[in-house]
Amino acid sequence: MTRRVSLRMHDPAATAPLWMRIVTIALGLAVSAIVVGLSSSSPGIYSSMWAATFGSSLGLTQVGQLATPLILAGLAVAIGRRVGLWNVGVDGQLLMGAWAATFVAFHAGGLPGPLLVVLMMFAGLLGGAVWALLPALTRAYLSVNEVITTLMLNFVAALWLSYWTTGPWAANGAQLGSLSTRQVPAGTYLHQFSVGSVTIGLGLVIAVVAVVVAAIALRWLRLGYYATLASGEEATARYAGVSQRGAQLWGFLVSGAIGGFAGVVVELDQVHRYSSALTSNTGYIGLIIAVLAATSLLGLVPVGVLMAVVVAAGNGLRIAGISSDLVLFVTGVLLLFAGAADVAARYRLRVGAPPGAAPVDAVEPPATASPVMEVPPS
Amino acid sequence: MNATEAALALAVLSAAPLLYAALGELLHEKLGMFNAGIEGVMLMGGVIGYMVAVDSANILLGFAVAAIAAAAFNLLVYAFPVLVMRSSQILVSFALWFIGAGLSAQLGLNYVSRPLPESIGNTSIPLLSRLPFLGNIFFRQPWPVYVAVALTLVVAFVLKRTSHGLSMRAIGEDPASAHASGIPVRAWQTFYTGIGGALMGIGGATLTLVVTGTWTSQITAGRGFVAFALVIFAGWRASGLIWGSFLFGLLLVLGPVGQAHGWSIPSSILGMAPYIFTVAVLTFRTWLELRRSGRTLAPAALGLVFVRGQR
Repeated sequence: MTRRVSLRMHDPAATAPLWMRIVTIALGLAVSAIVVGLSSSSPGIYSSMWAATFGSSLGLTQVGQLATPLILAGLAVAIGRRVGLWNVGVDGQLLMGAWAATFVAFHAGGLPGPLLVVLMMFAGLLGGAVWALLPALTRAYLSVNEVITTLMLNFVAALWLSYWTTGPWAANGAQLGSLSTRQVPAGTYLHQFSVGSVTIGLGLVIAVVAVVVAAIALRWLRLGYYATLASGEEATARYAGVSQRGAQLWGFLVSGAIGGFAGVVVELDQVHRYSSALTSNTGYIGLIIAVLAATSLLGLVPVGVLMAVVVAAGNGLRIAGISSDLVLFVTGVLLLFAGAADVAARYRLRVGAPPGAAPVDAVEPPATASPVMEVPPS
Repeated sequence: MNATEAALALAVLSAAPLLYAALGELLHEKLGMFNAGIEGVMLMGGVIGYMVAVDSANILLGFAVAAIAAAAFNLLVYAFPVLVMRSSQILVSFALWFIGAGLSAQLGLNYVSRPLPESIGNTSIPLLSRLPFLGNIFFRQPWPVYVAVALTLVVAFVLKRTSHGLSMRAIGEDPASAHASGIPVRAWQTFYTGIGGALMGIGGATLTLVVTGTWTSQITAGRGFVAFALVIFAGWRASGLIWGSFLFGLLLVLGPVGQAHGWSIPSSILGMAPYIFTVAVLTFRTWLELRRSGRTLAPAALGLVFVRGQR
């Protein structure tokens, strides 16, 4: 009998452990760096990437700015994943949240700044939740694929933006290359902190606090228990007295609300208008942030910052002939590697088991119990 | 040709990329594979077809290379992780979409403002093109439109009337039984992932080489996902894809037609029609099937990974 190396299913629900995720990210980024190197003929692209991220205070400031909506988008996707659903519509929810907030700002612009900020944030949460309502209802009650419905609504939200910025809210002298309204009142701008020569917006602090609050709520409140039931077997949830449909519905609405919140925060913190500049594939990059952070909500912060570094590095390469959409390629490669790592975590390598033999951890019968069993020659 | 006929003819033309892509998706789903990354494969086919056609001044060569490249892309980025590594089909679908979207944008960066050397002409079908009204709409189209319909009819026939088609459907319904009856499940799934990818790529190339005649990044604007919904809308029947795609094509041209005729509704609002319609149709169709039979018409083993020895 020959000794063989075989793979055996170990835990079908396992996700990759931390070290495997770090290796995954490193491999994915290495592959991406090679492709970027092949795509650009201009020399010194790696030093441009360094300058656009950690190599300058402007780079660090930009990483912080980019991380703000990315962390919130990752949180929105992660909350959806907690109830077993994929929210691919964060981009649309973000734009609709910003639209609702801008509506408030344009119609109640006379209010004092802090009050207006709070009102705009509520409007943003509401706008995002409303935009997630239809996919949430159709998914929970009719099992309509939420990937398609949320994605379709992204295009509707983008066209909605193009309607308002060219129609009712058209601004004279809008920023070049983007569809924008005029600015919201200056009293709503979020505070910018200076740390040395690096500027960090209050928006980033808000994003991190939102993640911490969500992590605490799901860890210590009953909400987390409901979410777990919602993503599992329907019968288990029913036995525990929890309506799976209700939990999915509410989970998805919260996910949408956070998507809308990401829109308001980035508007108040950086863009100050209802504009196509509010998102640049933010919701899609949020998907990989949630996937890489897996079951850890707090992990969204470091992964969000990491993806902000990737986006900032990509932005630094525009003049070197690199498309701003190449960041999607990096996102895709990371997703592919993360998926493979999750599969790898489900299996264990076993050495020495003959093909078709019982697993080693099974109780072995005494050698004398079975007369047909032959002692293998060693 | 009057304005109505021209608008309807444009709708038929706009339906062709959707039909190719949906047919490619149908071949995945009939064999139990769920591929939501059509968008990425269409974009790769679209950009590579355009690059080859511009550089070689040969549109037919553009189509051929687009088909081969898209098949290879789908095999490498979708079939390998799903069939060999058994990764989650939804995660791989997202990866396929993003990799295609990012890579195509990068590849086509220098082709954005380069025009096609020649435009593909319309081919009139003898006799039929002389029909009043219908002739101008359906039978004076570029050849990729006819090929799309012909291929769909071939797939419909193979799936429904041949034993090969029966075996294909068996893989999507119950791969373990299909395997037990001697069908090489994974080999067939790999083969049809290649064919399906080629069809999606041809769909993308039809969009860039025939419908728009230009390349810009993310030119498909969600058509891959509309094609995905189209398969559900057609109840997983190939023949249903033909008139379904025409319906979606009609909605796709609503914006441009409205703008050309100076309708009072803004074109950005009209442009929402195909997306809203997709959501509405998907919801209605699912509701109808659930009410009628308690389940959808999807292949029973759709999205499940078949591993020999595990059920």
